[in-house]
Amino acid sequence: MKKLLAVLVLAGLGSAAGAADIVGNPKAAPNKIEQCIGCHGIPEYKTAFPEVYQVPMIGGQSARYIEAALHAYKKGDRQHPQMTPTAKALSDQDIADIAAYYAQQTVATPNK
Amino acid sequence: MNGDAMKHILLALVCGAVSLSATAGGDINRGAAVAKKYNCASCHGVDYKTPIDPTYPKLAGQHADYLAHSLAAYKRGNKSINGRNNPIMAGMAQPLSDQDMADIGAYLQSLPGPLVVRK
Repeated sequence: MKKLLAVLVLAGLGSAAGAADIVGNPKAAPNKIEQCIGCHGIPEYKTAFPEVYQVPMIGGQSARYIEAALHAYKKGDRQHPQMTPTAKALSDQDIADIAAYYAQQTVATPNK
Repeated sequence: MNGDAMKHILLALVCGAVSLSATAGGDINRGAAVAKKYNCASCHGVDYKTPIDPTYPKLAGQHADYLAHSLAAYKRGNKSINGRNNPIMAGMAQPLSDQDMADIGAYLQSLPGPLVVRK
């Protein structure tokens, strides 16, 4: 029983460490954001289903929230005709990199 | 400028003003009261840009129509197309009317925040 517990605890530690190993690198993001900028990089860009609304500003948003949102689309907790397939194509590392990239943006960030 | 041209310009200006106010939709003051009633700040921060948990979004300055849409999506749940499943926000969004959502959105958009549109 003790051995089983120890295995379970170690397995838990292992998976926690696995998740913590993924560190977002904003410098790795430029090759991964082509899909993002087509909507989120255009001021006042609107999507139309089922309500018509401007897509959210994600520059300056917290990285952990962007990660949570993308994982929710990937998992199916959020459903959206564009965001669901976009998020499903991203690895956990991609998500961390993209989140880190947008989180560091401020009003001083040049719009390249 | 002749009279007809002047009338056209006036008409265009009036139509522009009407469509602008229709786009704005929400009532900032009422939105502030609704946000207070449901205590949105208890998680999203008193200034709505310092949430108590980093996995919660900063809302200050975000587009009003997006915020109203996201509340509607939480109310719909993810069984519906373009819906969201979130145990906390589902509960928060249930009692809100469409007008409540538009007003909350207008209020939050009116607040100064760090969000930007950049490539």
